[in-house]
Amino acid sequence: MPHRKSVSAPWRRYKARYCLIGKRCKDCGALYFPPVIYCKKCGSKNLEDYTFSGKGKIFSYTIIRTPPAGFEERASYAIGIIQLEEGPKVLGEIIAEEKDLDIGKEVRAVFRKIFTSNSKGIIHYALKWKLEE
Amino acid sequence: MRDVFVAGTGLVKFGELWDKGLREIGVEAVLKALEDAKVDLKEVDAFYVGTMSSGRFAGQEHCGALITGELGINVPSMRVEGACASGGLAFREAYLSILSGKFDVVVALGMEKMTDLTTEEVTLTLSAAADQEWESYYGVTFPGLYALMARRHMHEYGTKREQMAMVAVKNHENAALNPFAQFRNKITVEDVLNSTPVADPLNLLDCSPITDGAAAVVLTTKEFAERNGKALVKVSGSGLATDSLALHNRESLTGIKAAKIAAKKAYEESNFSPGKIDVAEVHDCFTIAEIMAYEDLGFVEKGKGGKFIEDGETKINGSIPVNTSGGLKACGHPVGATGIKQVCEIVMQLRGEAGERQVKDARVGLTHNVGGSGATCVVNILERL
Amino acid sequence: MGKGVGIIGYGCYIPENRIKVEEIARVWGGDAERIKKGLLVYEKAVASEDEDTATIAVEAAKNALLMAGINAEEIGCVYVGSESHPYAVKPTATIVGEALNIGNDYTAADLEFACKAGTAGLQAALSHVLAGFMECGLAIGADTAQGRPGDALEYTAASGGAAFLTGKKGMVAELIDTVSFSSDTPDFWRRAKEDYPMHGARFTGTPAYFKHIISATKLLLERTGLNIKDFDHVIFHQPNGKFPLRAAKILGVEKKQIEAGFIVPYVGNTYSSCSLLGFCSALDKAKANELILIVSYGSGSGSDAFAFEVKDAIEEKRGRVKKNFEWYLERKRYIDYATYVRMRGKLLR
Repeated sequence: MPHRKSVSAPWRRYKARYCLIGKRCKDCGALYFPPVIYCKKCGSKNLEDYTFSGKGKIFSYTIIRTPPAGFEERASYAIGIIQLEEGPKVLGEIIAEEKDLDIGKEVRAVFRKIFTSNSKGIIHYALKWKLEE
Repeated sequence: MRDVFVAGTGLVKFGELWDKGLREIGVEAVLKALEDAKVDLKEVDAFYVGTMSSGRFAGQEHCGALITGELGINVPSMRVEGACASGGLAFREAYLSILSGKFDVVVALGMEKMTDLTTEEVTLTLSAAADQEWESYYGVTFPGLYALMARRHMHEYGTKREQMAMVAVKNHENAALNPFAQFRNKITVEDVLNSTPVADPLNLLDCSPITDGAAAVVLTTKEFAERNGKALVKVSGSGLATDSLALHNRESLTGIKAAKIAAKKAYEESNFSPGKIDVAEVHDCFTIAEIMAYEDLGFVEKGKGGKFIEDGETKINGSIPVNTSGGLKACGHPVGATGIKQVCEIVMQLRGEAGERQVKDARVGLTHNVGGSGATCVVNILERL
Repeated sequence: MGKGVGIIGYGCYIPENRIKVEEIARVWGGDAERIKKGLLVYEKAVASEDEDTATIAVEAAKNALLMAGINAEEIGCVYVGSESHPYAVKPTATIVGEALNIGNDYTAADLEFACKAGTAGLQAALSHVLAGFMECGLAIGADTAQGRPGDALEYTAASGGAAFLTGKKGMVAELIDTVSFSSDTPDFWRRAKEDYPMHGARFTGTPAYFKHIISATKLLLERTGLNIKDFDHVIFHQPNGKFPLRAAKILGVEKKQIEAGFIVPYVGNTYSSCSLLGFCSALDKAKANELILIVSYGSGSGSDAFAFEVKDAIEEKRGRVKKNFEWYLERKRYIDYATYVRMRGKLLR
């Protein structure tokens, strides 16, 4: 997929993907991750940066056993929807033994490589989720 | 407002069609539908072509013109896209265009050519139906998204793996009676539970396959619909709704809100309630999706979908037969074609042409076509006059 | 005695995977007991396939920030020393800067000097603050060192990282002085397109490691007027367990001085972060007013020697970080050789 080789596309999401910086509506206080330019709750366009703590709970999870192209380095990995402690939900990989996964468990964001498509392109980093230790 | 009818249907058998390219399957389906409707190509006012990802599967965008070009005509033709709901959307656009009074005869075609790519490439391409930057980027696959929904449905309602497996078993049973289906073998609950894990808790046999195929319908005014002497099938209601692309941004993981809204609109427009539906084709891209569809369409109370299939309510001889075609699971899921195939199956049922899988006295049918993990849903209700 | 500048926070990160000497020996037909005795290394830390020098550096730096209690935006420089930077051209330092959200007004660079790149960065970060260019600096040593399969170094080459924030306010350790001893000594090297390093076997001992460590130490003692016995904790670079113990003997350092910072037996040689991890371990146990001596060694060759005085603030600040060296040391899961080889990308695909 050509867009996977793009450098500008991932670059513009660094703040969000590296630091978990989303947005907060200045008018109604609603929090968003990832960052948005429009508040769905009140229709405002006045949004400011908001840094989430990186703590959350597992809302749902699965083990992917047929990785898509670019993720074939491992035959299986866990993906979850994490509910951040501030409210919004995110999707990401959960680093844990299969047997330890359960809805409701606490997780924390860690900085990892997401995929390396080949030896020539840039390396993609983002946050994954580790069971709270 | 005028009434709109489905005058003809045309299906290319679903499967791995090595000898046929995208243009061949599209044209074949169109020609079959026109023949069935006894409508001449010259009489067609417009085409709506639904295909989810012809660009990535075949490197081919611009499919509206691809089809009319092969047919040697110059009428309006455009591509319609809404991920796996592309076919249903093409149908709806065709329906609305006749309703508007602007056109009298419109072809809605759905087609997809998936098998020219490797499985990893197909998986990656299908993931474009999800949120590219915040879901697919992180390595989640389509089965993965539905697995997240399944896990939650099991957690909130106690739905069991066995109940999900029964959906696949039933659909294979039905497909065994359908000459157009990709898979006509019977399977058991054990087979499903023992099949290769794809994304826990979904196994291979919980998932719809990779398929090539095309389906077309001819929508017309009453005048044209009376030509072929077959039973008149009217489009009595159609609803379309959308929701946030990313699964994690939806209100709930255990139901598809867009489906509920679309169904409500279709029920209202057609003046039929869920109880009046005689036969339905729903979007079982994964077994859990069919269970959620029972609930979203109002066939059963929220959370009771698992018990509904377990009690046999949705078999051919049940209280509301679902997916007599074999569904996406067994009939196959050439993504863009599915929405139109669903209409074809309902039309065949309402006309009494469904052969061994005929539902007795089917008079009102429903199609439920979903895009992605539920960001788009189109529900159509058809009625035999 | 101090220079008025020092460490205001420190942190480390060790990946959770460990592989034992027995397991590597099993595959290559080595004598595990003899190897363990000879190297005084029993197991080493291994980065997972989704970790690299950048991810390790970020985690270590976050722990340091937690301890320092400063806003990331106050950081004026980022130096990352490593032998395994993710890119040959494109700095790890700015990936770290971005991930910590320090803004744009900072200077940054990657350093390479075998195992002493981290301490070279520390010298720079301390100097910038001393010179008055900035309030705080960040220096990190991090590595996912590789050993050629079957080579002796495979038993010790490990992954880990240590980060240090420098500043003037809220010091946990104040710099007394730092000196270096450098020369062109080809004891261990890696050409640009090669995957694994080469080394000069016994040449890596006396003319390389020992010459530089001892010379740098002597230089520092001369400069500061201190005696080796004045130091409560002494940390040398630890390519294995034997070398630093021998250096200690030569310099007249006692066992009790070496203890707190002697970390290689259960972590391995984490290259650019090795002596710095030992420093973290020693700082975790040190008491106010104690003196610490750290002498790194980087092949090629050079040694950076530092004398620090531990300050009162250390007790309270240490308590801010749960994930300290001991915590990471104890958090582990063992992997087998096949998993190790897969994770470290040594399998041709």
